[in-house]
Amino acid sequence: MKTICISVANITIRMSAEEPLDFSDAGFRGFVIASADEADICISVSDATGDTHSEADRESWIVGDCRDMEFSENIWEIGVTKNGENYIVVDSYRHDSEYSWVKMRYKGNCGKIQICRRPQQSPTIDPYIFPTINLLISNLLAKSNGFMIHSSVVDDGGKGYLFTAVSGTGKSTMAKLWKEKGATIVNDDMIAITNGENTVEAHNIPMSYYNQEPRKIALRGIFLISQSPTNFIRPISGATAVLKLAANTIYHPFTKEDSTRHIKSVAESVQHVRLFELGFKPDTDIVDEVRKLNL
Amino acid sequence: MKYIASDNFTTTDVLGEMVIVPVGKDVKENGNMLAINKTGEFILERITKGVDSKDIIEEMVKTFDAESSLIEADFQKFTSRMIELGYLSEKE
Repeated sequence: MKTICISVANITIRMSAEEPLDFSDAGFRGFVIASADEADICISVSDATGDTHSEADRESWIVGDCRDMEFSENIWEIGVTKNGENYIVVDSYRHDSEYSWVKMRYKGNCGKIQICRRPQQSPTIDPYIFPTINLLISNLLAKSNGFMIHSSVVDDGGKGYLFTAVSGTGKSTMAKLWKEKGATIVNDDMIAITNGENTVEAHNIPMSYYNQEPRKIALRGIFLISQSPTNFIRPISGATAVLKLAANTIYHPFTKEDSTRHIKSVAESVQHVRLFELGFKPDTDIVDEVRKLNL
Repeated sequence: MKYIASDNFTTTDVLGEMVIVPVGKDVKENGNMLAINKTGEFILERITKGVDSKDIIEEMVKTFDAESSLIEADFQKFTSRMIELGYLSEKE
């Protein structure tokens, strides 16, 4: 039995298979840990064949797609079955991808992934098929008072600042401006948030074609960013602030309890870290203005 | 007229305010979350109990001591927004 363990945002995943496992995507290798005797979830990985993978016993589900034309094109579905198992199905519709579909089922801390590989692929099984593990992490985070959010985060001498917005608004630009001023980029696209007793930590997560090591930083400020002809920073608070932040999070609310738990997690982050609306023009003046807040 | 509340949302208290958050497979946009004020809370509570809109408006006029036209406008604005988000539907 071959085993590989990864740790992402305080969540440990142990994967085992009869065949050797390896990550063809370098974005995952930095998250491998030596062992995990007490993993949060243990998953058996195996090959599968066939065209069909429908979940006949599904109870509630959400469907989405990834349309990154350069790297992947797939449709995914995440849901729960009638007997309370969680499931994730990913279908690739690119003929040059290594697999045609992936199916994961899990309940509690046990699960299994079946991967239908295309013929003549490598002798190792890659248990990381985008976005299967990302969806798993998102789901596990949601159950442990955390969430994932479209955002960039920088580490400015031990102070973490999160910048969130819809795609194309300037998350990556903002991260680059901070880098120019000496900060380290934790990630510039997707972040996992974990709420601690008195702190909120931002973690990078494995991403396709990001060659990165795991990073985390305690957040000192959260900024809802927009492009603007002039720089401005305005504090916001209350439920409306929570909802504005939540609008950029990723969650899959199958039940009322899921939805409630998610919004409470976001609210908890806002209670510990100050939230601001920030408009900026793309130059490093905004970095100085944020630093002046002395958060 | 009566309204029917969908089961694709839930309400919860967030930092002292009532918010509506979507639930289930029809969730497309997290932007469909919204905070509602005391008036919205009052209306939604009665709609979920199956109270007729005419009776809700009459009760609001008495409770909030406001002009009927203003209350009706508030009621209309709230229910229209909720219908737009798919959280309410009209029952003839």
